[in-house]
Amino acid sequence: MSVQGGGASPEAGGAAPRVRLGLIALWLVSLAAIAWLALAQLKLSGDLRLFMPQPRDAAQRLLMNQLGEGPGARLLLLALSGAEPDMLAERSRALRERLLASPEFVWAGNGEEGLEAIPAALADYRYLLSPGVVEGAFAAPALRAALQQRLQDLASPAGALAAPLIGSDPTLETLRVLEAWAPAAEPQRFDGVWFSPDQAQALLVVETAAPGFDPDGQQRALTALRAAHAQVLVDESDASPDASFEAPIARVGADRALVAKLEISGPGAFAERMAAQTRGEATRLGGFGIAGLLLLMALAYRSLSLPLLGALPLATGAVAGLASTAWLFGEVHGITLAFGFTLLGVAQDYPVHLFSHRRIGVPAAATARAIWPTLATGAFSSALAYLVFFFAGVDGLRQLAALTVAGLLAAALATRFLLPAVLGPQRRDLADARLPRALQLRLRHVHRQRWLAPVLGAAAGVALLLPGPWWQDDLAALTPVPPELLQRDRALRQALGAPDVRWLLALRADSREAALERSAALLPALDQLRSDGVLSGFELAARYLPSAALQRQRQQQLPEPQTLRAALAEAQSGLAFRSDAFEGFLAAVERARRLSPLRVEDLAGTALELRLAGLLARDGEQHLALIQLSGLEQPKALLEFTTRYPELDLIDLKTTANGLASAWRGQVLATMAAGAVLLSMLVWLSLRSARRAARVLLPVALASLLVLALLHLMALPLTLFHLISLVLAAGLGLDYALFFERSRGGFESDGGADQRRTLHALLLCAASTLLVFGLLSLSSIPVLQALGTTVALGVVCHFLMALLLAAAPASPSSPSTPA
Amino acid sequence: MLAALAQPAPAQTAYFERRSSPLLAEPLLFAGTLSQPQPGELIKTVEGDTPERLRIADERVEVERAGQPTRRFSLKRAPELAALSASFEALLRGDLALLQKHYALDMQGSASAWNLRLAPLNRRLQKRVSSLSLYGQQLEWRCFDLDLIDGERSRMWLGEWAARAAAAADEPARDALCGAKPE
Repeated sequence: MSVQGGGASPEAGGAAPRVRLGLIALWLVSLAAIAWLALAQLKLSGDLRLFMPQPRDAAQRLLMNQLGEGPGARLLLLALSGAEPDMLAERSRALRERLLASPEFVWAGNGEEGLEAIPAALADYRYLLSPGVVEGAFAAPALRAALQQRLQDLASPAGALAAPLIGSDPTLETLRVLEAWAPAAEPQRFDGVWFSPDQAQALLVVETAAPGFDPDGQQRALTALRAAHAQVLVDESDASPDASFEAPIARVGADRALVAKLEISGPGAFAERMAAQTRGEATRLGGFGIAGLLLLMALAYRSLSLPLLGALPLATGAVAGLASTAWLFGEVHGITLAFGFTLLGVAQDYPVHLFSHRRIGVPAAATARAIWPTLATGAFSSALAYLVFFFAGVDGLRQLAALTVAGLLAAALATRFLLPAVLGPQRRDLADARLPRALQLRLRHVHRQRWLAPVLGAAAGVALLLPGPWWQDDLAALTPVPPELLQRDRALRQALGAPDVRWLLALRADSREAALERSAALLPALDQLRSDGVLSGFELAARYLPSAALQRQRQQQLPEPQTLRAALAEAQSGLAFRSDAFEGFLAAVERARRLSPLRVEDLAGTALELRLAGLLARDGEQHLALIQLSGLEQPKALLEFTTRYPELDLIDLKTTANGLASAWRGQVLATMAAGAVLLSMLVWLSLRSARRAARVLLPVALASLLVLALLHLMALPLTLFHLISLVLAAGLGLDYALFFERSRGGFESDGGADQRRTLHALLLCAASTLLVFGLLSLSSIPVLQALGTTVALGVVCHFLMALLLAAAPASPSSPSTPA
Repeated sequence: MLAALAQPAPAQTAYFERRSSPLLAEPLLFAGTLSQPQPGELIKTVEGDTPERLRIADERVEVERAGQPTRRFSLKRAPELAALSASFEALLRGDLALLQKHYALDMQGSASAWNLRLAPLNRRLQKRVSSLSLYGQQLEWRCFDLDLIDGERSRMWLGEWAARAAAAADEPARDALCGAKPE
C-alpha cells in the first residue's frame, strides 16, 4: 500500500523532530545510567587462566598452579648495558638496593649475598637452619678454633663481611645459611656481581610481588623498575659530574656515546608489550573501521543522521551485554570484552535492514513490524549459537556467551521497538538505488548458476581432505611477541641460571613435612645429576627449609646455657676478647633451643614466602614438593632417574599445555555441533516449511565448509579464535540467507521494489562487515588476525552462497519495470 | 704539601698497628710492612704468630694466611680496604684531586704538627667507615687512623715511628708519638 508522491502525513512522518530528539536523549540517558550501574559492579580481569579450560589431570592442575603462583611467572630478568663493567657493577648494586626497598618486589638478586637475605625476625633460626650445627660444634675446641679465626678477622679488614656478626654469631652460622641459600647455578661474576660472559652486561633477577596472571600488578612493577633505574642514573651523574663519563668516552672514542640501557625480559614484560600492541592496533584499526563504516552508511543513505542513529541499537546491545556479564559474573576479562564487542558487529546489520526496507510514507514502526519475523529468526538463532558456548567448559567463553546473547537480543529488540520511534520521515526510497537495481537485473542469470553452489561445496570437501596441519596446538604460536625477544629471554635465562619454564619434577607425599623430608633426601642424587651434566641446576624448597625433624635434630646439638658458657670461657681463655663480648651469642643459642621448628607459615611476609610458595603445592589431598630445573640437557636421562623413585614425576609443562589445548577442543566442537542442530530447528520452526528452511540452512552450511577449506588451503592451523569467528560468520550468513529467502518472488505488485530494498540492505551489510573485519585481518596480532581473516572470508562466502541458493528473481517471467 | 709528601713507587714502609674493638678486652697489636711495588698495587704484610699477606691490586683483594687457602674477593666488598687503598694510593701519588673526589678533606694544625681528616663521600663507604685521619709533622707522616662505624678503630704508626710505637711503654705514650691529639 504505497502512497504516491511525496506528501507526508503526520503518521507517516512519525513524531515531530523535537519529540524525536527528546526520545533520543532519553534513550542515551537510560543507556548511560544502566552502563554506570553495570560498570560499578564490574571488575575488569586480566587473569589469563579464565581462557584455559578446566584441568583434568594432576599435570594440568600443576600447570595452572605454576602459571599463576609459580615463580617462573613472577621473575623478570634484567640486563644493564652501556657502560664500562666497573660502572655497570656499581649500577647493578645501586639498582638492587633500590629494588629491595620497593614494595613491588619481593627479591632482587645480582650475585651479592647480603645479610638482609635473612630477615631479622628469623635471625635466631640460623642455628636450626645451618648445616654447620653438628655434633661437637659448640664444644670448647671447636669454639676456640672459631674464636681464633674471628680474632684474625678483626685484625684484618679482610674479614669485613663477618665483622658485625662476631658478637652474636661467632661461629658464623649466618654465613653458612646464606651459602646454603645461594642459587645453585650462578652466572659468572665480575666485581662480585653477575655479568654476561662477554662482560658487556650486568645481570639481575627480580621477583615481583604481583602474581604472573595479574597484568596490572606486573605493569606497576615494570614502572617501578624503570623509575628505579632512572634514579640510579641520576644519582650516578650527580655523584661524579664529569670524571665518571670522561674516562669511558675517552676510551671508546668521542664519536660514539655509550647509552645506558635497561633490558627487561620475562612474562611480565612480554605481557606488557602484548597489551600495548593490542591496544594500539585495536584503537587504530577500530578507528579506521568505524570511520569507514560511518562513511559507507552515509554514502548509502545520503544522510548523516542515519548512521549515527544506527549506532543506538548497537550501544544498547553493548550496555545490555555489559550489564548481564556484571550481573552474572561480577567480572569480565579484557579479551572477552574485546571479542564480545567484535561479535556484536553482527548486530550492526539490524538497523541497516530497518533503514533500507523503509518506504516513503510508511511509518518506521510498520516497516519494523514487517521485517521483524525474519530479523528475529536471525537474531535468536545467532543468540542460540553463542549460548552453547556457555557449556564449552571455559570460563572466558561463558562470559562471552552471556555478553553476546544479551547484546544481540537487546540490539534486535531495540531495533524493533525503540529505533522506529526516533526515526524521521523517509525521504528516499532505496529501491531506486542503482546498485540493487543492477543486481536485481542479473538475478535471473545468477539463479541459473546455482549449480555452482554444490560444486563449490564438493571442491571444499576435497580440499579438506588434503594433508596439512589442522589444529594449532602450540600455544606459543598464539603469542604476538617477536621471536627475537623470545630467544633473548631464553639466552638470559640460561645465563642467569633462572629455572626453565618447561621442565619440572614433582614429588608427592601425604603431608608437607613428608614432602620436604623426602625431597631433602633427594639432594645428593640431584647433585650427582648435576655433576653428570644431565642438568645445570635445580631449586627446591628443602634447600631453604629443612624438615622439622632435621631442625629438631640440630636443636639437640645446642648445649644448655651453663655448658655453653663454660665451653666459651674455656675457648676464650688467653684470647683478647672481653669476657662479656659474647653475651649476645649465649642469649641467641638459648632462644634457639626453645624455638619450635620453622614452618612455611612462619615465613609469611618475608622474601622467602613467595619463593617457597612456588615450590610447594597442594593437589587435593596430596602435597607436592616441586623441583625446578635449569638447563635440562638430557630429559631422557632424567626420566630414567625418576623411575627409581615412584613418587617422583617428570612434568613437561609445554606438552601439558598443548595437551590441555587439544583436550578442550573436543568439547568445544561438540558444543558447536549441538548449537548447529538447535539453530537449524529454530529456523525450521520459524519458517514453518522444510523447503524454506533448507534454502536458508544449506548456504550457511556450504559457506562454512568453504571457509574451512580456504583456511586449510592457506595452511592456517585453526585455533579457538578461528572457531569463534566461524560461528560469527555463520550468524551473518544466516542473516543474509533469511533475508534473501524472504525477498524471493511474491512482490510483483510494486515491481520488485521490496526485493531491491532487501538487496540494498544486504549489500550494505556485507560491505560494512567486510570493511571492518578486513581491516582487522591486517593486524599483526595472531588472535585479531584470525578473527579478521575468518570473518572476512566468511562474509564473502556466505553472501555468495546465499545469493546462489536462497535468492530468486522477483518474477519468473520478466524483469521488473524500471521506475 | 701533599705533592711533597708523595713518594714514587716502589715505596715501602714499616708500620705498627693497634686495633681496638668493643668486643676486645685489650686492643690487638701487630706490626708489618706496607709496600707499593708498582703504582696501583698495595701490599700489607702482618708479622707475628699468624702471618698474613694482603695484596690489593686492580680492585681485587688477595688474602694469604698461613695454613689457609688464599681468599680472593672484590675490593668493593670490603669498604674499609677500599678506603685504605684509595687513600694510600692518592697520598703516595700526591694526588689531591683524587682524594677530594672520594673524601671531604679537613686540615688542621700547623706545619710542625698537622692533622688531615678524610670523611668518605661514598654512601656505601659511609656505612662502614666513619673517617680516616693522617697525622704528621713537617713533611713526614706519622700516624694513620681508621675509624669504623661500629666502634672499631685502627691506628697505624708509620716509618720510624713504627719502631718507636712498638717500644712504647703504654698506650698514652704511644699516642703521644702521633703529635697533635684528635679533638
